[in-house]
Amino acid sequence: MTMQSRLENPVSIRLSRNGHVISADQPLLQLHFEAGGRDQGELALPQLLALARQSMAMGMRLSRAASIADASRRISLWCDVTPSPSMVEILVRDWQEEPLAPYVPPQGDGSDAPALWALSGDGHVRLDAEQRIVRITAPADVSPGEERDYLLKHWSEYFAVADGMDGHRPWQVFQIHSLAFPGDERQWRVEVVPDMGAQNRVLGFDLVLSAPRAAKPDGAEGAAVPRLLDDAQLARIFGTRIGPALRRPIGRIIANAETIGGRLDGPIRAEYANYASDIAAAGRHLLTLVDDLADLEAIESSGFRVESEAVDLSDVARRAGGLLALKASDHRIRLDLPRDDELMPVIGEFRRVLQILLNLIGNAIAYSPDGSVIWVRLDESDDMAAVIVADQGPGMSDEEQAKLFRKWERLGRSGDGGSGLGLYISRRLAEAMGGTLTVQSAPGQGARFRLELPKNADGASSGA
Amino acid sequence: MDETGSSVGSRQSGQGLLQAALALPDLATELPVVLKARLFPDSGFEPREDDLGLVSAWIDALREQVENGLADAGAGPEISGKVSRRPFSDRAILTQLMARAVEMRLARNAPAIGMPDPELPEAVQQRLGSEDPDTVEIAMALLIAQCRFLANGRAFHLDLGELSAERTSGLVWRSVSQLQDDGIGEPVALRAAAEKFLAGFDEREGRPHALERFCHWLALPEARQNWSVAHNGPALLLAMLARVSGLGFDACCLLCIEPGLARLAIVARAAGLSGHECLAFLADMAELARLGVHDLPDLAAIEAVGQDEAQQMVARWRNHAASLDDWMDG
Repeated sequence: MTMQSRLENPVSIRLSRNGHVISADQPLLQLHFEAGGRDQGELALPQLLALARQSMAMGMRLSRAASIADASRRISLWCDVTPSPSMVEILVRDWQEEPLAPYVPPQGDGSDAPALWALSGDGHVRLDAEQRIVRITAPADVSPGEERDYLLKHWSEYFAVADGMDGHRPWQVFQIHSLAFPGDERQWRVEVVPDMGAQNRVLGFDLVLSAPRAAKPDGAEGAAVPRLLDDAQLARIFGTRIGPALRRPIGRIIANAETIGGRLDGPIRAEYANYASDIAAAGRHLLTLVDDLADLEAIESSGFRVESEAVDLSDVARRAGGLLALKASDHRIRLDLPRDDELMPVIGEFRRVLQILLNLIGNAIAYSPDGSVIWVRLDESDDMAAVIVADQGPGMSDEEQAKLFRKWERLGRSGDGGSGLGLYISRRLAEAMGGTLTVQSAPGQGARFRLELPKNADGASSGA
Repeated sequence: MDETGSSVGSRQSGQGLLQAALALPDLATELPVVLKARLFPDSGFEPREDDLGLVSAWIDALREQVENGLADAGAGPEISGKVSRRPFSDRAILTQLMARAVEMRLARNAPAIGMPDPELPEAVQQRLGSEDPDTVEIAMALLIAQCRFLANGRAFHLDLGELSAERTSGLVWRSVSQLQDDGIGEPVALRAAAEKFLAGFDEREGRPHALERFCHWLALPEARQNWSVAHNGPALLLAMLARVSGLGFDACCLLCIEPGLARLAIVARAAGLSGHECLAFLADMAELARLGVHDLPDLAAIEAVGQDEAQQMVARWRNHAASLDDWMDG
């Protein structure tokens, strides 16, 4: 239930430009102290602080909703934020409170819930109905963050989710089996209890944490204790944990570097803009590497399957060419793609075929001289159909061709943004779809990559 | 080439200039391509020409407002007519403009569902008669903002306040960069003008703010919310869905033109609409968006998706969306 509190008079708080409290009306000051804030210290209410910083950074007046949580309630505020050269003022105009269901400590009373409560709960995390963190009672030896910057974050932004759940769906709070606090590598076991209100509406979730399993040297717990970092495990950990955790910060680095490089926040000297563009390019390279490693993990897992769907190879080739047209035009490279009326129905998985062709055409652009032509042609035999990507690049010797499809193989090249995984992954994907990926080349005579897939006897095809 | 290399330098500059001129996109013709490529990659979705036309006209209107704003803030009259369309070639701003165009389309077609005055839905009218002066003030602010938006839209005009503070800031600074790149105006004066112009921006004057404020003040949607489109009007209804889903208003607008309205159906179910309410809501929104109704989900399909299931899916979109752009990619 939401209780709306109409303030007789608006309340306000004034912050210095570094986010420290200069002065505040009592209700806000009390919240600041309850959240662990200090007198004249940095504002301990994360959403209000973020709003103030955003307003200062842009030099603009903002008027937005913000939320604050304490042990028993979630407070929704309407804030008018006005920056000035020396400070920022937040005026709170209405104040709505929603009570949070009280945390019931573990009872172990043998009733219907003992299986849950018997875990004894070394720690406890309270989520609201939108799966945002409103409170953490951390295990004794874990510090969940002095600044309480986890408050009202979506739980998946704060915790690292580990084994026991589908790594591609970390939003499904019901499926958490274990998670880790930032800066603490231990995996805490989790049981999730939805908090259903009287009207059978989800009011929030309680995550009950119990002690992480200790790895025993004698391997007494057998399969339950993962071995340390063999290749497969490293790949899995990368794909499910490290990769997703890296994507967001790298994405932010790229976005910020592009903002600086594009001079979106104001004029800067050209060389600094160029430095920022270099940072963005390096970030994109890292992101490609992260994606490649995640793909590597997927295709090397025992359960890897591709869809068998009707795909028009000609259409996919045109789409891939269209996506890379801008990159090609940067180098005045002409892409000679299949005509619109050409059809080449095959059986495969649309997005995987597109991924392979993006890799092949992208490589061709990267290694072709400026002003050259890349041909993308279709071919067929009795039961196989093929797309050929041919370029006017430097070509490869037989020895290089023999190594080309190996994992991490760069043929001595560096600094071009490649990871050495693209062609390996592409060939594995082609094979998983019942096809092949081969190359013909000679030094100085360009390269011809040929992707073959089983023909679709029905002849029908679908797009994305 | 002479020994000093000067002739080469000038020839390279000349070639560079020619290449730069060739590379500059003519946004008037490129805009549909840009929008399609950036907003709906691989979706097979074709933006309607009337939406694209509106966005194109709005870009001109906004360009003029930015230009006048900068000139008035001290950039001087020499920038008159010099801010180009280039600063609008930005995914985030085009997405926001497209969302506004969709909203305009929904409002324009409101009479088709028995709503002759989309700017004055019953849900707002009721609040205009409230005894609480604050409620009346907030409802009146929304009414005025909606009237202005629709009247402007009919005249192919859009107020700068329709853009979020972030988009406005980005647009102004990109415009300043473009002027500087084109050698127009004095850089220090341009920067000062941009800062002054943005300092005069007040989010409270924008219509999206009025919608959000209305929902927040009245804690909408209510426990027994009337979800009829004709009762609320499309804008208020989408604002409520945005509030309850956490997906953002623009994202919710863009859900209304997706083929089959599947994601809109999930968001509605997550918000607590019953099967019948959801079906009626989707049919009305399809009518307003002028989508074919033949591919809407049927009652059995809608009812087969439980609220908790829908909430989990919405949580996926929300948790994985650092920004609207990310969400659109999803």
